[in-house]
Amino acid sequence: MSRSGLRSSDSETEASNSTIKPLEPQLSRNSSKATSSNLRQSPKATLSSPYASQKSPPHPQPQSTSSPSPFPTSTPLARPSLRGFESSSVTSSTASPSTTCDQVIRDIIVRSFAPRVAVCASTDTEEFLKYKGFKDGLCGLVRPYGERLQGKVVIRDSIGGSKAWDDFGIRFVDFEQLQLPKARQSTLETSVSSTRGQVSGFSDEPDAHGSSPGPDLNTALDRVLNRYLSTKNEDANSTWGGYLDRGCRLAESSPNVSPLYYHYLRKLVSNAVLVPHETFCHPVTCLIAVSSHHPTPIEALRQLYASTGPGSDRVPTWMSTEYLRYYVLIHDEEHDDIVKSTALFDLMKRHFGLHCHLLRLRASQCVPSDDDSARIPSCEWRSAEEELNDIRPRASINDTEIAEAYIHESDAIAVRAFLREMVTQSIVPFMENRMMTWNDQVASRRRGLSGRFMSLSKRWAGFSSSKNATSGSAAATISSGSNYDHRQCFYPLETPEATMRQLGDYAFMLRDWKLAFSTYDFLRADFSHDKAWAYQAAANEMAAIASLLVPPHFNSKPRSDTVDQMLNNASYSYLARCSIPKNVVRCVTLTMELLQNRDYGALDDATRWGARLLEMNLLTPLERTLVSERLADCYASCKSVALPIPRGRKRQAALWNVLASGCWIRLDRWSHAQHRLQLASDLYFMNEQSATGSSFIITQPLWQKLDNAVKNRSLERPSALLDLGQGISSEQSFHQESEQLNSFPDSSQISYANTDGFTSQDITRPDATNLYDT
Amino acid sequence: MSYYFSIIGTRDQPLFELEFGTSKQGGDGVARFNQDARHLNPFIVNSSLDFVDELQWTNNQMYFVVPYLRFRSLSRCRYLKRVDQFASSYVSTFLTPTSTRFMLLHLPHPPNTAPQSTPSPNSFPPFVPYTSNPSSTTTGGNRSSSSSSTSIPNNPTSPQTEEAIRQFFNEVFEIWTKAIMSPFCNIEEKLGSPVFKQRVAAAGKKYL
Repeated sequence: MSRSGLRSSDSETEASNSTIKPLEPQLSRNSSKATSSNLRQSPKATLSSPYASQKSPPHPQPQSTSSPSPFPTSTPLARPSLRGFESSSVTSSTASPSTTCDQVIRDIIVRSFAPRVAVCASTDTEEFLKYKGFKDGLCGLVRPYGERLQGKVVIRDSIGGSKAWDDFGIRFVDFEQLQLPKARQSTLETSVSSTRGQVSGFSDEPDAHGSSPGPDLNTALDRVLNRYLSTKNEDANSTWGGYLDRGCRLAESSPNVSPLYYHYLRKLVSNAVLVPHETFCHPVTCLIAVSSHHPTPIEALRQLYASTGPGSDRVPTWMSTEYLRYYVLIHDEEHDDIVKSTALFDLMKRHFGLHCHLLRLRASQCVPSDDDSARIPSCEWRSAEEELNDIRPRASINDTEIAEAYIHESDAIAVRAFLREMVTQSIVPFMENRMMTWNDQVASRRRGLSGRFMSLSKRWAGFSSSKNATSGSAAATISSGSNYDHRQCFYPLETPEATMRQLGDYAFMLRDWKLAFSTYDFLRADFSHDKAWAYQAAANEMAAIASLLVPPHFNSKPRSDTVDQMLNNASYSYLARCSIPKNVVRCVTLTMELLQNRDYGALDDATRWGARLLEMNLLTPLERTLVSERLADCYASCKSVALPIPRGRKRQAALWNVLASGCWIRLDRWSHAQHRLQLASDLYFMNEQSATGSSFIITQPLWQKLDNAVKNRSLERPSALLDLGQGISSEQSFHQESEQLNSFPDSSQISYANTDGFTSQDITRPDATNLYDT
Repeated sequence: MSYYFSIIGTRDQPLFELEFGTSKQGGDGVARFNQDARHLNPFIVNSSLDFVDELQWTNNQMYFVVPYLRFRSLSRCRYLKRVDQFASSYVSTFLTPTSTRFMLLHLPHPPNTAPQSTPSPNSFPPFVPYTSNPSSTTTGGNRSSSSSSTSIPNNPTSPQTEEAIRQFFNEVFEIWTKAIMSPFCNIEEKLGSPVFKQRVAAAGKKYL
């Protein structure tokens, strides 16, 4: 029993070395990240190059400290030398890698919920901008600049504190394109040839859950991701270089996660479809623009205002039209008189109030060879359908054409200043005002004692009347106390529930997560009582996300249970009652990411939800691969906080790496598969020649098959991956591996135990018997 | 219920592997794993070792006191119950005093029938939402009726099942200690004895 004695003493030394522990995980992650980054940038490079370029061999083992508890005879001698290497690589890195990766994902999630601004421009404005070279008009001009505002934006939250954010952004959407989901679906069908795009909302389309056997394999999202994958392999100076450069920039900062995953995450949350149960996409402001070319600008502005009001047919009944109107006068520098425009601008201010701006633009189109040309940043937040629409015309353009448009520097400065002024002086105060009003009038009333009595009495009224309900009008009688319109599936605008939902969303967009969470929490019960399932699912989803974004003040144990419950409710409602599987994917993915960002205990929850997402059978193969990869990375980068855990979740990470590699093979992406297999083999200690115990992997037929497939880069059919009845001609790999196996004294027993270990299910094991014939 | 039993040494190497099926309720004792997923079993068991490592320290504080251990070695055998779950397969563990782990992976399905799986197209491990996990509410999806019965083959988390598994482990532990007493048998090497295999299979038939 001496071995046990050794182990316990090791645990004591572990206790004393606990201070070293936090550093170690970063060291190992640094090495593995550097590997993956090198490999990503040159997928065709051989495996030897990433390791040659690094100072230290990619060794995951240094994560554990001085106590090799399950490995009493493994390399304590080798470790000090490795640690010397690792520390040098730490000093070369700029920031701690784990926090960068988590930060990036958290930033993506936080920034994805941004206020929407609808752009309603007069026709002469649109023509002016088209002449300038923006085929999308004013929306196309301001959209890239709006996504990331210059400077810090100070936001006051409901309790009076203020916080400055430097990554605030807004999203612009054309007012003409604010369509109902059905109309949107028809445009999708014309523009994108798949019949089932990324539309969430009314369940007119056949859902993936009930009717069809699996997920829709042809979604726009899938095609965009496939497009990324195929273009990433091209040279960096192709026309797609600029297109993907943001992703690559991200990759350099945090190479632990593949850049494809970031794109996938962004596309998941960039959904521009209007639905009643989520008010994130409802515009917060409407930008009404007229140019100095127009003969009667004030009249034009009045008409545009009317078209954005409640009487317009563009606006669905459940969308509030009480948003801020912001008026812009676009002055043409080269053709019009500035004095006239200034006078007009003063007139506008007198008529319409202070939310006005005069934007001075040059009329000529800019070419890159101009002196003061500046490149327009590409839009980061575009939904998959938009990207596909964009890609298709570009594919037909010559390679020498420029992928990006250019603009004059003065114009860029003017637009940036305009947006900054609009956001900081008009939009944010407006939203804060609305929030305060709603909070005081509606929410506190509901939350107060009288409000609770009101809601309780509504429920009891519903119960008593439902006893007399007939089946036909059951909905009407059950909801006699509620405001929900069952037939059209929305809450009318004046109801407190709709207002509170908007309050929650505004609070979320202004990053006051505590208020958002309390609002959503309150609404969950109301919606489920009213049987407003889409609303209830959305409220549960947002409550889960908000609760995870609130900075933790106490331990997360109680919170993880509530998060689980909320996610369960949300996913069940979305899947079974509303048939919106895309939303399930979105909410589970976001929650998984946020859980992973938290402390150690939540990592298990995160991965559990990730595995459940895979089981739910909602993902396309590529998405499934990305999620498996992400799970592998989660496990590999887990920070082992608790003392006695020697290695965290390395084996789980290895398992998921193997699964991800298999998925990549099925998708014919050999470099990715090879990379994953390499990571798995690192984790299984195959590179360490002195480890005698962990070589069982080599003898596993699955591993051999994967290895051969990746080495030969060929597979006759994907199902052959796991079909071992097929004879594998893999003599060369066995020769390689037989050298390793010969160092084990018990190798002769391997085949014996294995062939006897399996019962009547017949497996031909040519591998094992061939091995020892040579 | 199909079982995959494995004995894992201290360096994660499998010392013994056996697949068998349930003999209760008219089962014929033949393991019926999904052909695709069957080769994944050793990997799943290996990955559950992470949880075993964690649980073995957090469960029993006795471990940190050195002198007592040598005298109380027998009491340190611990049945760690259900350690992990991977896509409807459950893994239970028994820990011996020498840190040799007995791992049992069980996949519930009605006896003498293959586990139904709905493999999604192009998925590498077919993620099988076969039975609903009884301890948590899952989303809609195939809810099989097998969780209603408390019989051992069908319900992997019932107390009867856990008791049966515990008894199986204890019996195997006794067989194993007798097997490793042989001077030709190294505790860290593969157990190739056919007698051992027979006895383990018999224990499986008896309890499971």
